[in-house]
Amino acid sequence: MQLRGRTKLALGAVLVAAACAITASAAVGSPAAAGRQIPKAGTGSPQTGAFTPSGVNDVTDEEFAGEADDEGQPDPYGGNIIDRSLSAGGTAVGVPTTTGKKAKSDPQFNFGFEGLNFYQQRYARGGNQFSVEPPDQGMCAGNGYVVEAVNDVLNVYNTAGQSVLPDNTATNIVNGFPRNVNHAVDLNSFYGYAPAINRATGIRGQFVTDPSCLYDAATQRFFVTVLTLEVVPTSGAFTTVNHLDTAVSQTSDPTGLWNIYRVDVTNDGTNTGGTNPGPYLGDYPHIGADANGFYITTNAYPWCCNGFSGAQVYAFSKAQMAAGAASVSMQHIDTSGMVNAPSDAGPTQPGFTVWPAQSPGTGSFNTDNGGTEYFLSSNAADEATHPKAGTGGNYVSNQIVLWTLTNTASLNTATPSVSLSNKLLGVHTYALPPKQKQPGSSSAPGEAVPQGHCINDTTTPTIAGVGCWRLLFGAEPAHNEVISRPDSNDTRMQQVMYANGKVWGALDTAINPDGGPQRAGIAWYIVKPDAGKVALDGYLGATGQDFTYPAVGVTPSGRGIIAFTATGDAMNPSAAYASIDANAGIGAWNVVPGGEGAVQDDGFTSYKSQVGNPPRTRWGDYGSAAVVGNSIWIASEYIAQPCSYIPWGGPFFTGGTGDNLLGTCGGASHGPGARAALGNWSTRISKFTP
Amino acid sequence: MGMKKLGLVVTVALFLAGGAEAVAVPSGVHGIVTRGPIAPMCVAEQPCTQPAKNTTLLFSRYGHVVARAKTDDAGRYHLRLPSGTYRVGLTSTPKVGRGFEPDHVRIRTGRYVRLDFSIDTGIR
Repeated sequence: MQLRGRTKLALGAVLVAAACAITASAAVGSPAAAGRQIPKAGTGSPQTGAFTPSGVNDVTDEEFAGEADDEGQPDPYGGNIIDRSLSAGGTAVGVPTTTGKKAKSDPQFNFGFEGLNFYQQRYARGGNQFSVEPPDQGMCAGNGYVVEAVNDVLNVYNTAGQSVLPDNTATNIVNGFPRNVNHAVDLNSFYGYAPAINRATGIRGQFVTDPSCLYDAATQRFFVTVLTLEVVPTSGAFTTVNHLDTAVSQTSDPTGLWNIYRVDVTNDGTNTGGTNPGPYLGDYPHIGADANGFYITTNAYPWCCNGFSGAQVYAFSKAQMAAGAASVSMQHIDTSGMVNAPSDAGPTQPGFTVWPAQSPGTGSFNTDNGGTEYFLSSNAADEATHPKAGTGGNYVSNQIVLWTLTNTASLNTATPSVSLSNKLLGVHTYALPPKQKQPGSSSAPGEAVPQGHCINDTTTPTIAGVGCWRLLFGAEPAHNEVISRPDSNDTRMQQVMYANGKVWGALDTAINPDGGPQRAGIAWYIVKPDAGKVALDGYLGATGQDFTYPAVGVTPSGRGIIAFTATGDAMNPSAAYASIDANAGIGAWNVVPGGEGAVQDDGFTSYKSQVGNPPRTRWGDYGSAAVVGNSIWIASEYIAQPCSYIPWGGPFFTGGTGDNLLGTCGGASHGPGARAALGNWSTRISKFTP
Repeated sequence: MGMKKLGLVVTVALFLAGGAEAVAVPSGVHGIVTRGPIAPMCVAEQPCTQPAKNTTLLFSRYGHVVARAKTDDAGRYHLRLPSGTYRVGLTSTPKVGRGFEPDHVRIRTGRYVRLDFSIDTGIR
């Protein structure tokens, strides 16, 4: 599919003038923050740790039941959210808006490259990794570097897109051959943990997930945060102990050493009703910074059962972390009961995905009120409306929540005293989006979608017998898999920025482009925090398309880009973007050059026989945008490379040739794979000047 | 409105309302209810869902709850139901979206339908 140069007209953009109403709501004050000292837990580096090469004598071949060791439908939102700009007669070429104002942002594509992918992830550290979905896009840029962290692997590139980590191909032996993973390093190595799984023994290391990355120009340090779950080494079962691990580069060079700070979050949350007791999971950590603090927020879920235990805010002294202090002061605030809107827990709601803002450069921070950090969240989800039951809501809202943390300069003192408040802001309705469609959704996978095709196949002669399914399963599965509909997220807030005196954010929503069938789209927000009101909000959607996992980046001058994944009736999962600014709102969308999806998503979470019925095809769970000077780097998940059935099977099919790892399309030379057997996600990193 | 306890695989309570037919017909629905994701990312060699045990499913017609089924420790449920189309949920609250899916089942005369449900934990 070639979309380069094709202007997209089908664009939904309901722009709301500054008169957008503010929901009457008193700001709710902060509970007392609880202070802790967080000792430095050690140091790490982007170097692969010790491992035993996998493949020859593995005791764990659960991914491929038939492989010998030596062979090496969703329920849509019931209403309509209509794209009125199209209903009113469509839009012109260029930047279609209803504000009538000239757009500030006119993104010029500079450069792009394929980032980390499923193959690199699966076969880093000698293959002592799992197949995992989704990637979760952590990317940041600064000082001439681009750092990318996904589940569960990391790379550092120069601004030409070349990895600057040591070439580890020669020692990265899997199934007897060196494997080129483009120098990538597994996250377990980066944080000093044992391999995710030692395939020679079956022993499991820590379960590391949800990476996020931030480059702070003020301190010239990179921050990479993950959630780490402790497991029983012999079984992989979760112990329920979990912690936030933040690595801070010791210098402005991310290829060197990093200091690691570890915050146990196992017991951070509020029992909302007696049925949801701790311990809790500190899920979906995201990071931000202002002039004084470094911030992580999580969603606390009870391990035991349904329900939600509140978003948690962790505020650190940024200066202490940047300096590599032996101990860093941290303030913790539980947002349970802080939002003045009703829920099944009473007259208040907890915060949910309270995403902290990051700011571009060194001069965009708000230094008023002793230093101020902003956050945005939404409140359509059960987590906000039904924190006790964890279900039963209608997943629709016309409010977002602006959070303000003040006196952040005190984080750098011996007596930190920060205050968190919030305000409900009225916005246009947003609602849970339907799942994405991709070409052929709900039909049988063809040979271009080899994993699904393999599960359904009963006739191909293989080394394990007749029927490709034998390469993946011990017991015969049903042969009724279909091309999936990838997850479209829920309505939680996505990446937030504070730039040009405004707070910028976006989330996933249901939308009816041009009044037609409901699709997944984006709701975006530009908030004036000093005035406590929404400056502009609107939608981005298009007929026959689904847009998901938006990430907003904005320069100090207020020129912005939203990155997202675009799929559609005729579009494979692709990396896309649109401009955004406070004059004109949203601009025309397009696929990033080189970001066109090659084929459909073929990941293991797409298939009933792999994950149960109904499958939830994981995608996302978030994108990323990073601002460097007047440029914006964006990163989104997409499907980069094709790998059809015959080369996917390679020598595992009778008479076939190719790589001795199933499903890589690496060829007989065992070259870099296009994918691995159980998945084909990739990431696209692009640079724009808006 | 009447209610009968059925000693099947799990405890099943059934009550009729809104003109639903008598229960003595050989049709119904059974399956497994799971909750997930149970971890932020899914791993190919580990379960990404778990059984939703002791969970009550509500089956409704014409806006009235006409039957309930409670899952066992393995998340299994089994319910005898007259033919027809039923809306299914975890509470009687009207809902849209996919916190719980699928949200309806069609029962045909003389047949037991296998239908598995999933509950979205919100973990990502």
